[in-house]
Amino acid sequence: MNIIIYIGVGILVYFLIKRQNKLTPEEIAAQKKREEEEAEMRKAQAEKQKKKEQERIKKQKEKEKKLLSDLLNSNERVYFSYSFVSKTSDLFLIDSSTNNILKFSKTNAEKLYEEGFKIVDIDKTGSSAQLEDFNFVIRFSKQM
Amino acid sequence: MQIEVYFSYSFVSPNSTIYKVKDSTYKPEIIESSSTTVKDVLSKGWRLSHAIKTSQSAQLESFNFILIFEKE
Repeated sequence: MNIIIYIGVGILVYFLIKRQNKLTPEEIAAQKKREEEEAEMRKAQAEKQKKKEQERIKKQKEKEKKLLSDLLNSNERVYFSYSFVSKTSDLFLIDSSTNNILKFSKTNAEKLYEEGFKIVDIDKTGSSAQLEDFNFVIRFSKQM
Repeated sequence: MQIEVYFSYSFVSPNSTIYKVKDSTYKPEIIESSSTTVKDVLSKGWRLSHAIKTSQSAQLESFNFILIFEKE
C-alpha cells in the first residue's frame, strides 16, 4: 500500500516540476530573441576583430613597402645571406634600425648583377665552416 | 656584368680544384661535375674579384674558400 502512495507522490512531484520548468510562449519568444541578439553581438565582435586585423596587416605592409622602397632607392645596399654558396643563394636586406632581416626583400647575387650592382665588400659572419652556415654580410654597389 | 661563385676545399694555387655548390636551404652540396680550376675559369674571361676564407683552420688542407668571379 505504501509503495503505491510513494509512487503516486513521485509522479505528482515529477509533473509539478515539469510544469514549473515549462516555458510560456512569451518566455520562449523572449529567450529566442535574447539568443538571436547574443549571436548578432558575437558576429559583430568577430567582424570588428577581423577588420582590425586587416587594418593592422595593411599598415604593416605599407610600412614594409616604404622601408623596402627607401632601401632599394640606394645605390649602396647591404645584404645578408644565411648561406652564400652560389649566385642564386638567397640574399636579404637588413633593417638598420632593428638589425632585422627583411624577408620580403629576398633576392640573389645574379639578379643584382643583372641590375648593374656588383659586390664591393663581403664578410663571413658565421664561425662554422659548414656550407649551410656560411652566413655572410655582402655590400653591393652600383655606379651611376 | 655576370657573377659566378665557386667553393674550394683548399685554395692554394691557380690549379687548386674548385666547385660550384648546389644551393639548398636544407643542405648545400658540392657539384662534383662542376670541378674546375681558377686557371681554367680565368682563361674563359672571368676575373677573380673576391676570395673569402671560410674556415678557421690555418692548415693548407683546410683552406676552404668561397671564390667570386666576375665577367663584363
